[in-house]
Parts: sequence; structure tokens; C-alpha cells
Amino acid sequence: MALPDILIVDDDRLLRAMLKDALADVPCTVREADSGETALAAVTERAPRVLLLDLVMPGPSGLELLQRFTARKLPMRIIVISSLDTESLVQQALRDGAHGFLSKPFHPLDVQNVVRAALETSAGDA
Amino acid sequence: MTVQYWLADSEARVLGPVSLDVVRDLAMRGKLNDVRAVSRDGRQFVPVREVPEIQAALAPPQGDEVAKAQYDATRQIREWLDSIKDRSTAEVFRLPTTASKEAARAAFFALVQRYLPSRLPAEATAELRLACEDAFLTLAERMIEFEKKGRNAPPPAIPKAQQPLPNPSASVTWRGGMIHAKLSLARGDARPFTMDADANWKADALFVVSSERVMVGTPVEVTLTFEGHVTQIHATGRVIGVQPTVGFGVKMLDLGEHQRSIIRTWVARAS
Repeated sequence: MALPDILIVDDDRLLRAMLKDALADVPCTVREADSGETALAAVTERAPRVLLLDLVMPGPSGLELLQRFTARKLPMRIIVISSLDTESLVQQALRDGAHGFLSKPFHPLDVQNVVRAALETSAGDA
Repeated sequence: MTVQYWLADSEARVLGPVSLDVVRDLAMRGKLNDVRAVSRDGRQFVPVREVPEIQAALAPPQGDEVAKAQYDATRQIREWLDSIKDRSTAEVFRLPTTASKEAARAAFFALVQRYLPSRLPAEATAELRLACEDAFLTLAERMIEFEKKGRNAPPPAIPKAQQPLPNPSASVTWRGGMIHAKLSLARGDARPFTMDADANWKADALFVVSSERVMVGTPVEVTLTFEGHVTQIHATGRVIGVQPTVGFGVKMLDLGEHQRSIIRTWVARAS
């Protein structure tokens, strides 16, 4: 059985590496995208089960990607990961279709937990 | 319909679309420090000064608001430090009891980022800076305990006031015409920084207990180690005062802000 696919979208290479490390214990395959453009291409090629999305990026921003992916009704869970964790922005992200919001700096266990939960809830979507 | 904005930073990274309220909210929390251009359609960006409502939202908050935010942050850190006193290191790091050292290190680095004194704004209050330094050092101590004793390590023992501190003698050696003084400070012992009226931490100085015969002006290389901490301080300076058979004061001439903050925190924790 194929492992679930996770796409990390963040322009910061170090953050992508930290997220990847945090997911080392989660049975999954991980792809990375370093901008809005590459994220669009990666999702068009194959929609992941879970997408970890930064909000501030070159090209289409994280919020624009969130709105576009939500409009396409793709069967994937989107978790926003950002240091911009004010109540109003978190609420907007959730309204725009995010399934979760994780603050930076994040705890590796929180990343694992939120991804595991997203994988469980998305199991029936495919 | 609510006007939406896109904000671009100096690296052309974009946040948006967001409402003015969201921009205000983020700016109030100090989360928007590098906005260089604004767009109302996500395509055409103009300098911030050309969008007055965004420029106003990004203006630094008034002094009272800054002071209140820093007071709240300080109180939260102090409450958190109090709350973890009796918790095991695994609990503090929110790790399962089966966690590896690698997992502990990752948790430590994730936690410690919140309290890095170097990330504080220049106008941070002394109380907030000290609280961050305490949190940083507490986490560092916990990490060292974890690595030494394993995941179920209890909180590091707090030195009892009645416990006599070890003799503060330094190891003093000569190299060429220079003195090399090595001081290993036990937890709770800040006497080298406080025992002398002139050669004390406030003057970037310390007092070296030694029977070595030295003269004022002699160049000194100082190495300070702090029990429970991996960070050492290396500094160079000169002898500024001598008390025959007792010791000598040393003015450290090349201390950086980070080193000063370590010493300041050490003194504060010992008092």
C-alpha cells in the first residue's frame, strides 16, 4: 500500500528541513516546494494527502494558494504553519479552508500530531 | 466589500490578501517589521507611503502599548518558569518518556527560540530581557540534565542558601607577560563579580582570589565557566587593583553584550 504523500511548502530551506525531520517518524513520503509557483506545479502534478503551507512566500502567497486549492475542492488537508499567529489571521486561514494552524516556532511533536490527525481524517476522502 | 491588501517584504515575499484589521492586528503584535510594498490587487505593488491606511497601521505603537505588551510578556515568562519548577525535564519539553536525546534536542531548540535574548527588540525592558535570559538558561540547564541523567531527570537541584559555597580561588598561571586566570563558578556563586567595590560586574570587572603577586596594568586573559552551562566566557583585560595576598581586580575590555548578559543573569540568579 502506497504511503501517504505530504507536501511542505515554505521558502525557507531550514524550515523545510526541520519539518521534514519532524515527520521522520510518520510513515509518509515528503515532497517540498520553495515558492507558491512550485507548490502549484507540485499539486497539479499530484495532490498530496496533507499540505503544510507557509503564509508568506514569493509568488502566489500562502493565503492565495489556500483559496485556490479550496476552490478546486481537492481531497487534501491543508495545515498552515506561520509565525503570524494572530487571532484574526488564524480565523481567516480557517475560513479560507485551512484544516489547522500551527505557530512557528513549532514543536516537532505538534507537527507530528497535527499531521497524523490530518492523515486520519483524510483517510475517507480518497 | 472589504478592501484587501497584499504586503511584500524586502525579499519579495508576499502576505495576502488580508483586510486592514488583520494588518493592524499583526502590526500591533510586532509581526510586520519588514513591509516594503503594498498592493490592492496582488499584482501592482507600490511603496508603503503611497497607501496611507497601511502606513498608519504599520506605525510603531505608542509607548504605553509597548510597555504593557512587554509587561505581559515578562509576567507570562515568569509564570511559566514557576510552573515548570517541579516538573520533570520530559514534561517541560513535552516529550514522551521514551523520547531519544535527539528528540529532546529538537524540542529544546524549538522551545529555546522563544526566549533567545538576541531576538528581543533593542527597546525591550530590563525585566523582559532578564526573564528571557532566565528562561533560556533554565532550558539549557534542563537539556544538560537530560543528556547527563536521561529522560526522567528531575529538575536540577536548587542550591540551598545554607550550603557553603566552595572557595572562589582561581587557577592563575603566567604565559609570557600575561596572566591567565581560570574561574569555575559553582551554581549560585557570583562572588567574583560582587565581592569587590570597584572590580565588579557593573564595571565589566571581576575580582580574582589569588595569592599570586601581580601589578596593576598587567594584561590578563580570563576564562569563566559556569556550573551547569556549556557556554564559557573568554575575555582579555588588565589588572586594575591589587590586594596583596588576597587577590586582584580585572577589568575585562572586550566583553560583548551577550557575555554581559550571561554575567548579569548569573549575578541576578545568585542574589
